[in-house]
Amino acid sequence: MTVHGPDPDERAPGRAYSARFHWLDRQVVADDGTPISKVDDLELDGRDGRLYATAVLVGPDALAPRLRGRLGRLVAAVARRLAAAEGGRPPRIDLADVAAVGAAVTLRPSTGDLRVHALEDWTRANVIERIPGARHASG
Amino acid sequence: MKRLLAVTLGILTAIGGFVDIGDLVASSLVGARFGFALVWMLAVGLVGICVYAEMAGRVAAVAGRPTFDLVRERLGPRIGLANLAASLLVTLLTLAAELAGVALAVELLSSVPYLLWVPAVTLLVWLVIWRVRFETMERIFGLLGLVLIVFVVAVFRLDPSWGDVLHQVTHPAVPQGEGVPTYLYYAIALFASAMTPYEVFFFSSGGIEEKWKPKDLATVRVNAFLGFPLGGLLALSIMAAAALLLHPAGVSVDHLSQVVLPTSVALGKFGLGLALIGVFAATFGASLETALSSGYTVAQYFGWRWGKTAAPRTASRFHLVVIVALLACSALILTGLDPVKVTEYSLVFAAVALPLTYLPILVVANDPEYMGEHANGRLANTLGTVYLVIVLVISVAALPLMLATKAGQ
Amino acid sequence: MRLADLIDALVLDGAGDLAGRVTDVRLVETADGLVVDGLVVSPKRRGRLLAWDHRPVERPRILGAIARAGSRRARWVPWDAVASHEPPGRLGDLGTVRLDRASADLVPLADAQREWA
Repeated sequence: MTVHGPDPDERAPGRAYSARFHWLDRQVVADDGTPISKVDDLELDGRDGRLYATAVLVGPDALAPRLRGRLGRLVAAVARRLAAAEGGRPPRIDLADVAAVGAAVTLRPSTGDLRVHALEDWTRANVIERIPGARHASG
Repeated sequence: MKRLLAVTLGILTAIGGFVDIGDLVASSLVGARFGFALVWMLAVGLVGICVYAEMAGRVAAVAGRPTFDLVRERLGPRIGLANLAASLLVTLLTLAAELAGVALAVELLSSVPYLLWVPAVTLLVWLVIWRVRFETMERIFGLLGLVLIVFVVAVFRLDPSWGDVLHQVTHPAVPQGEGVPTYLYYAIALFASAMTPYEVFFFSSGGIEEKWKPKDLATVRVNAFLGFPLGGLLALSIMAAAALLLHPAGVSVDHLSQVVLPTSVALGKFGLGLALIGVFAATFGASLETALSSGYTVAQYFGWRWGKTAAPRTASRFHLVVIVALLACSALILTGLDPVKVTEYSLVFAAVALPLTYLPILVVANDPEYMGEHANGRLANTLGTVYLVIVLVISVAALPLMLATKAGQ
Repeated sequence: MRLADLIDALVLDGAGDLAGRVTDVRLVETADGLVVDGLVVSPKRRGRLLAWDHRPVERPRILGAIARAGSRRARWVPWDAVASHEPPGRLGDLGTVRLDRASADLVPLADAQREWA
């Protein structure tokens, strides 16, 4: 799947965004258009009295606080259980890897293995690849 | 020819909205109970889905975003999750009913009880999703579903007085013996099923699977304005056949066998056979549509890779959702629940999902940051806004009417 | 910290009165990175869903009118007007933002949007 449309806007100094419109809940795609995840939250870092957005946070752990209330706590509990199963840091995508913000948030081509796909890896290994034909693209 | 065949995505999508098992029975039932008095609602629903399918398709082609992506983007994760839950309930209840519908069509052809066919049908539906090319799937089931045109032929064979029919269509009146609340309930049910959210989820996702680009806008429009009306025509002909044959005879419709009765009467065994093939294809097509939609909506809410075009191992979570959905739905239907009742009750969830689906589409289709020069024109906006209001009214009225009329008793 | 700590947070003005909730955050690209430029604060929850993230929304016209009505009372809080901010005590609760001035001294959002345009 390819991202196309009115030239996805490159990130450039001076550009202003509405966090709720341009960033939160947008689809993050690789430079070839492959979906990676949603922008579940943004990581903020305090520096010289200002707050800088430093990373896109991904996964149920990042999404839980945005769901609020009991629902959020429930999702966070699930996320903790999933994280305990594979360990490691909660998935984040460094903002330096984001090239453009348009209809989708597009990453730079050189972005390597992002480690945001733990559930996908588990499902692929334990369920899907056991079924014959999993590698065949039906087209 | 290629351009004309490109309309099969629209036809397949429309099948899920107009001639899936719930609608086959509902159209026939409405024709049998109310004659031609609800044809206008079918037309109203048809225009609505055409308008929004074009918008959703245009957003998919220009911005590359499928509809459920937009639901979470514009409504946020909480309300988006509410829509996900409601839409999934509608889609899964419908999928369960469709699996039964395919089995019922086979039962009518084979005299073997339908429940015995359900596991085989489920497996077959999954195999088509797993291995058959998207475009091939679209063409086979879209075109085979069109075999339901036999109902149009049957209507002509029943030789109605056209002036009379036209009068009844344009002067809808609640027949003797039916109450206004029941009439309104069926009007709402017809509208809600013509504009069921999974249609736009499937249509926009299918468009992206077909790799629609801004240059394909003509294809989007052909699909929306030719494909969907074909589906509507099929529903209309089933309703008309029932209105002409079953209504005067006071025959009530509660089983698939009564739905296909008019073709048997008008065209004999051959007509009946064609009708059953059409029903099989339509319910199978609707099974594919709803099974894939359940995967599309979950994957698009969470941002996962999705789609049946690429190898399954690249979209494992999406395929897992589809497999689980098929297993759960076939288990549900194997408990012996009446499949048509099941689709009736999904109306309540549809009432929640409808406004939460169509508002984001309307908003995004207007946004120049998504759409560039392809944002909505005045006609799309006028119709889009009118239909959004209708959808809101329907949503508010659905549950009370359902309770008051005991789902159309 | 995260953006979720700011979005929906309770906003208390200089006098300690509730000014509303944070309904949007404006981010601006600078040479040093993507910085939080300021907050949009709305007194009533009702304004939120309709105001569509506080970008000026034009079309369709009826919904644009509803969006404008919904954001009429929204105010713009530049970051230098924020005295302090605290994350929620427990996951799922709301954060708190304290301003250094009274709500009446805040610029209405519409005026700020005109300046940005």
